[in-house]
Amino acid sequence: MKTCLISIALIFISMTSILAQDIQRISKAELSSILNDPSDKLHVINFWATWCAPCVAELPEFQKTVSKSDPAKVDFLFISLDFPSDGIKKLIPFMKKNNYTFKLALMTETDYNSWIDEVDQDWQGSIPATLFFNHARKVHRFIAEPMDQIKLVKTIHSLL
Amino acid sequence: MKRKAIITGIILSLFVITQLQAQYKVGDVVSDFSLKNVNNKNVSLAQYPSAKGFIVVFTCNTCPVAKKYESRIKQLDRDFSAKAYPVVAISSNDVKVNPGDSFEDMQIKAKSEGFTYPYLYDESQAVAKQFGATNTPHVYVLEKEGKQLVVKYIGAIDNNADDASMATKKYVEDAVNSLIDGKSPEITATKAIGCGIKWKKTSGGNT
Repeated sequence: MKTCLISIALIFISMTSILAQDIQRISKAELSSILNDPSDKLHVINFWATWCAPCVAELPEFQKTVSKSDPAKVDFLFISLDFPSDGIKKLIPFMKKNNYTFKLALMTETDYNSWIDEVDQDWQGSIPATLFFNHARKVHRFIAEPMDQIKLVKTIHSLL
Repeated sequence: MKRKAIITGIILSLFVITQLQAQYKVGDVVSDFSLKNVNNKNVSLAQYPSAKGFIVVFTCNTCPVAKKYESRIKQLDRDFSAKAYPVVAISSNDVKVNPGDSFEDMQIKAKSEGFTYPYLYDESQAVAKQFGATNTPHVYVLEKEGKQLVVKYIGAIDNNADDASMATKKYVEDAVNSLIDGKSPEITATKAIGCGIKWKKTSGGNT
């Protein structure tokens, strides 16, 4: 009985640690290196936060698109701009509750002004915002407004 | 034919000019507005003859970033209204999109939070469009030059939305202090992550 409880506790601990590890953090430098990736691949980076209602609303559609896309051709990354003070605490249950499997990273640089322009010069900072790029093909599209699945799929197809 | 082209050209350029005028940049002259305050009285900038300038903040009740900044906006008014740069807060969110941003909710918030500055309702969203505000909070620091009000700074309040004590750059405070000292602000424009202003949905549109 005792060993049973211990093993349950161990499983629980390892599960939570796996979940905690799933929330990756991204620094300004790491974002910068992704933004400068020269490879022939379409990157789709969505900027969102759990506190942003229109962002949360578009995620189910985005998840469907991620699931249907060929990862060799399109690389999706969802950068959460949740506050670092409570971001991890909010993101873990949020991802789990919605069964989201997309690649997520919590932004650690809160001096937004230091990296917003690198994403797109015209971005004023409102979210949701989605960046599409493939430097090998000189593709750069930035959409700073909510998108439905049709618009997302059409945009991806037009850029592939 | 040629004449038609010239007329079209003039019309087009007029259109472009009005478009440009609708979004202020640093150095632009601001047109005054008149909006309903939470006390039901209209407020315009001309009603402050002794003001040397203004800290115009586009904000709202519901945006978590705006909420994070609320006490800092209050502090700005405490610090600078006595120095003739009062805060004027404006909420432009569409109530249909964000029900928590109704005029009644604004009145409740202003009362419960003890706002010392006007909290104006931009129901038509014309003032947000006139300024080119996109986020909440989005600040415009204005200074009186003769009879004109000139934009001196546009952007964020500081560089840490999450934690005021961690902010290493206090953009608005620094800009206003520079103006008080008779200097031009060092940093005149910044960007920040925030909630987009909730624009009215155009009838028939699906955005």
